[in-house]
Amino acid sequence: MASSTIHAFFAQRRADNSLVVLDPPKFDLESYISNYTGRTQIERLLHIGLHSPPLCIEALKLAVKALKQTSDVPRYKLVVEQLNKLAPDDPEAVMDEEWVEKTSRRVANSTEKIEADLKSYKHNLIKESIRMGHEDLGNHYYASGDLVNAFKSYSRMRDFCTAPKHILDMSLQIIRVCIEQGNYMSVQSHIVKIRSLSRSPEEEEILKPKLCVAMGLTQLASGAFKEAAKSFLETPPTLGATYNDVISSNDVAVYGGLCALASMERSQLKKEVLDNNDFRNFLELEPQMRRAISYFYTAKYSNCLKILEEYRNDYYLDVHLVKHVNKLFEMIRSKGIVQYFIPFSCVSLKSMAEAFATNEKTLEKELVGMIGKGVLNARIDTKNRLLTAKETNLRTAVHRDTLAMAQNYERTARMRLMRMNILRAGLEVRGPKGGQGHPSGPAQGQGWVGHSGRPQGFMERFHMGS
Amino acid sequence: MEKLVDVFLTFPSSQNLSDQELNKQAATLISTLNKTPASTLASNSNGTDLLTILNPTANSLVYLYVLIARLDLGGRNALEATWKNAVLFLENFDSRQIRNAPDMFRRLFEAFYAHAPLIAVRPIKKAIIRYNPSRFSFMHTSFLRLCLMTKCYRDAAAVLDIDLVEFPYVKNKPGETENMSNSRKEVTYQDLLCYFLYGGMIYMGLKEWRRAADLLTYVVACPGNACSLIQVEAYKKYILVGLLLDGKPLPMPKVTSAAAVRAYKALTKPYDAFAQAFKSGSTEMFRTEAALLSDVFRQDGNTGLAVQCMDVFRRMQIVALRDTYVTLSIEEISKKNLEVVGRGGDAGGKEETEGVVLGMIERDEIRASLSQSEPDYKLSQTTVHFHNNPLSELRNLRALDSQISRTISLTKQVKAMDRKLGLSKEYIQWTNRLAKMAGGGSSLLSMGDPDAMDFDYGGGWADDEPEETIMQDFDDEI
Repeated sequence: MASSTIHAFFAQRRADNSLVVLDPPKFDLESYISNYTGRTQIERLLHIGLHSPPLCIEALKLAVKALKQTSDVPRYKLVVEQLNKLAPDDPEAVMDEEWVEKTSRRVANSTEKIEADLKSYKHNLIKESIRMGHEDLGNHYYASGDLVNAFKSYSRMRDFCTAPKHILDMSLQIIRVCIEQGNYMSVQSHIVKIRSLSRSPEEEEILKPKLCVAMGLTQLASGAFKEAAKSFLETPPTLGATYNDVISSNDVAVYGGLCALASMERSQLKKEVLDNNDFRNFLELEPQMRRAISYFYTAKYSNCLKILEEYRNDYYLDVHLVKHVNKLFEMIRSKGIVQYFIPFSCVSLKSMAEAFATNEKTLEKELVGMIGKGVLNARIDTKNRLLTAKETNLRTAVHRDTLAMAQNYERTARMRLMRMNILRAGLEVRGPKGGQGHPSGPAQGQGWVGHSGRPQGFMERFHMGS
Repeated sequence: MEKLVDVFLTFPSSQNLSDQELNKQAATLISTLNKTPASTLASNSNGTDLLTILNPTANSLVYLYVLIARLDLGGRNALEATWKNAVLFLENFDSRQIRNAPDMFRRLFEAFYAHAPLIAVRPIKKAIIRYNPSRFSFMHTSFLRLCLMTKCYRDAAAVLDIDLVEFPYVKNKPGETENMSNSRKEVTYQDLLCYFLYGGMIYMGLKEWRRAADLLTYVVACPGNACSLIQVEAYKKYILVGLLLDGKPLPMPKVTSAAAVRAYKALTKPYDAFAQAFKSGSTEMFRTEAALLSDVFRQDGNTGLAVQCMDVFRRMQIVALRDTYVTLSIEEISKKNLEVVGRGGDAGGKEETEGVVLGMIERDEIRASLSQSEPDYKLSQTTVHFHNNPLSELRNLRALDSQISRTISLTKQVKAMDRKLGLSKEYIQWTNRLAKMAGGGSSLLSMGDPDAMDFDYGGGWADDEPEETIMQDFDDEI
C-alpha cells in the first residue's frame, strides 16, 4: 500500500529538517483549491503535496489533472515524479508520454512562431505591434512555465509603452510573475510605478484591491507584519474573486488577521480590525479569525491562542504564510503575555500558565526569553513562583543617564584635547619613511586647527556639558 | 677654588628674580661651569664637601653640575656615595634653574634610575612633580617603566592623574631629515605611545579599568599616517579592558586613523573573536574560545587580563540575572555553569558560587541578600534575593556635583587650547584665506598683515588642505 512509501518519504523530509504537517488541516481540499485559478492553484497543490502526508496524494492528483489543461511541461513532469515517489502503484502516477511529447512540440512551435512575428514587427518599427509581440511572448512563456523568460519579455515591453494604460498592464503582469517567483523587490517597485500613474476613478476601483494585496504580500514576505496588516486592512472588499490567480479573499482575511494580531495593540485591533467595515467582509469568510481577534480584544488570550493553534496546520499549508507562521505565533503569544501582565504588579506563574494553557516550566522559559529581549518589563521570583513588575524610578534613571552622558562627554573632550596637543607638538605616529618632508603632519594639523575657526560653536558644546 | 665657590653661591643673586633675569644669569653661570674641569668640581673645598655648602634648592644648577662631575669621574661607586645627595637634589631642586640645563639633568636622571630601580621611584616621582608635571618630558615614560617593573602602581598613578597639557615641540625644521633631528629631540612619538600604554597597564594593575581604558584610548586613537606596533599592543589590551569594564568590547574611537584601523583589523582577530564570544553570553562558546586562544594570550603577555575576563564573565552573567529574577536559588545559578576559568576542584559548584555571590554583594556589585531555608547549613537551600532599590540619590547627586566641577576645569583647558590654536600660524593662514575668499574686505584683516605674519613665522608647510575637509572633520567628530 502507498501509505508506507508516503511514510518513508516524509520521514526522510523530516530528517532533512523540512516542515512536515502530520495532522490534516481543517479545510476541505477541493473547496479550498477551487478558490484559486491559474498557476497559483498548482503552486498551492504542490505545496500541500510536499508537506501534508494525509492530503499529498489527493493534492498531487488534482495538480496533475489541472496541469494537463495547461502547457507547462516541466512542472507536469515534476508533479508526476513526486506522485510516483509517494504512490508508485497508482495508475495516475504514470507519465503521459504522449501528452508530454505533443505539448512540448506545440510549445516549441508557438515559441518559434511568436518570435518570428516579433522579429517582423521590429523590422517594421511599429511600436504598438512590438509591444504586443513582447506581451504575447511573455504570456506564452508564462503559460508554459518559463517564468524567467516571461519576466524578461514583460520587462522589454517598457520601451514600447505609449500610454499609461500600457505601463499599467505591463506592471500588473510583472507583479503576477514576480509574486510567483518570490521576487518581491520588483513587486514593490512596480506597485510604486503604478501608484505614480494618473488613472481614472473606475480604473482606481479595479486596481486598488490588487495593489493593496500585492503590497501586503511584499511586506509579509519581508517580515514587516505591521505594514502588511495595514495593507491588508485597507483592501476594499471589491477584491472578491478578481485576483484569484494570486490570492483569494479568504487569504486576505487570514493574512491580515494574523499580521494585525501579531503587531497591534488591543485598542488598535478594535478600531482598525473589528470596526473596519471593509475588512469585516473578509472576516466573514473566515469566522474563526474573527473570533480569535475578538477573544484577543476581550483579553481571553487562551481562547484566542486555542483557535489559532487549531488552525496552525492550515497556515503551514499556505504558500505565503508557511515561512512566517512560527514567528507570527510567537509574536502573538508574547504580545498576549505582555498585554495580560499590564494591569498586574504581581502574578503567580501558576495562574498565568493556566491563562496561556501551558505548564509553569515552559512558561518560565518563555518569560526569561522575553525579559532578556526586553519585551517584558518584569522579573521572576522563582522562590514564590511569581512574576513581578519592575519598579522604575525615573528620577534616578535621569540622574544616572546624565552622569553617564557627562562622563562620556568629558572623556571625549579630553581625548580631543590630547590629540590636538599631540598634533601641535608634532608627535603623531609616522611611517618609516617619514624623513622626506611632512607627508601628513601639517595637513592633519590644519584639520585640527580648523576647530578654532568656529570658536563659538566649539565652546558652546563645552558649556552644554557643564 | 674658593673663588669659584663664591661665584656659585652668588647665583641666583636674589630668590625672586624674573624669569628673564634668571635665565640671563644662568647662562653666564653655565658658561663658567662648562669651563671648569670636572675634577675641580668634584673635589672638596677646604676639606668640606662642596655639596654640603651648596643648597639643593637655592643652588640647584651648581649642585647638578657637581653631581654630574662626580659621576663622570667615579662611575658606579660615585653614585652610591652621592646617592643621598642625588635624592636630596631630585626632591628639592628649583625647576626654574634646571630648565636651563636639561641635558645635564637628563644625564643625572638616567644614571640615577638605572642604578637602583626600587628606591629610585619616590625621588623620581617628586622630581617629576617638581619639574613640570603637566608637560610631557623624557622622565615620564622612564618613570612609568620603572613603576611597572617595581610594581609601584600607586606612585605612578599620582603622576598619571595630572593631565598632560603640554608637549615638547618636536616638529622638524624644514630641510632636516628624521635622523638628524631625532638625536636632538627630547622625546619621540614612541615615548609618548609607551607612556600611555604603560599608564594603561598601571591602572590595570590597580584594577581601575575606566582609567586604563581612557589611557589606552589615547594610544589607540593617536593621530598619524601610520600605525605603530605599540598601538596594536594597546588595542589588544583595549579590547580586554573593555570586556572587564562593560562586558562588551569598547567601540573603536571615531578619530582613529585609517592606517591604524586597518592594522587593528588585520592583527587582532583572535581578540575580536574572544570579545564576541564574551558578549554572546554563551558559556559554552566562551569556554571553547578561551581554550583556543590561551596560547595567543600567553605570547602577547595578556594571560593575566584574559583570566580576569573569564572571571568577570561569570560575575557579569550573575549581574544580568538581576534583570530577570527577583529570587533565584544558588543551586540554579550554579547549574547555569558559568565558571570558565577552570581552576578545578569545587569551582562552579554550589558552595563556591555562593561565595562568589557573597563577594559580589560585599563589593556592592549587586544589591541583593542571601537567605537560607534551614538553620542547618547542610540541608539548607540558599536563595539570592535581588533588591531593586536603586543607589541612594545622594550618591548620584554627589557624583554629579564632582562631575560639574571637573567639567568646569576641563572647559578652562579647552579655552587655553582655543587660545593657543588661535595664535598658531595655521589658524592665521586659514583666516587669511577665508578673508580673501570673502573678498578681502572683512574685519578679519585687522588681525594683521598676512605677508608680515608669514615672514615672522617663516615656516615651510604645504598649504594644500582645502577648507571643506576641515569643516567636515569638525562636524563629524565631537
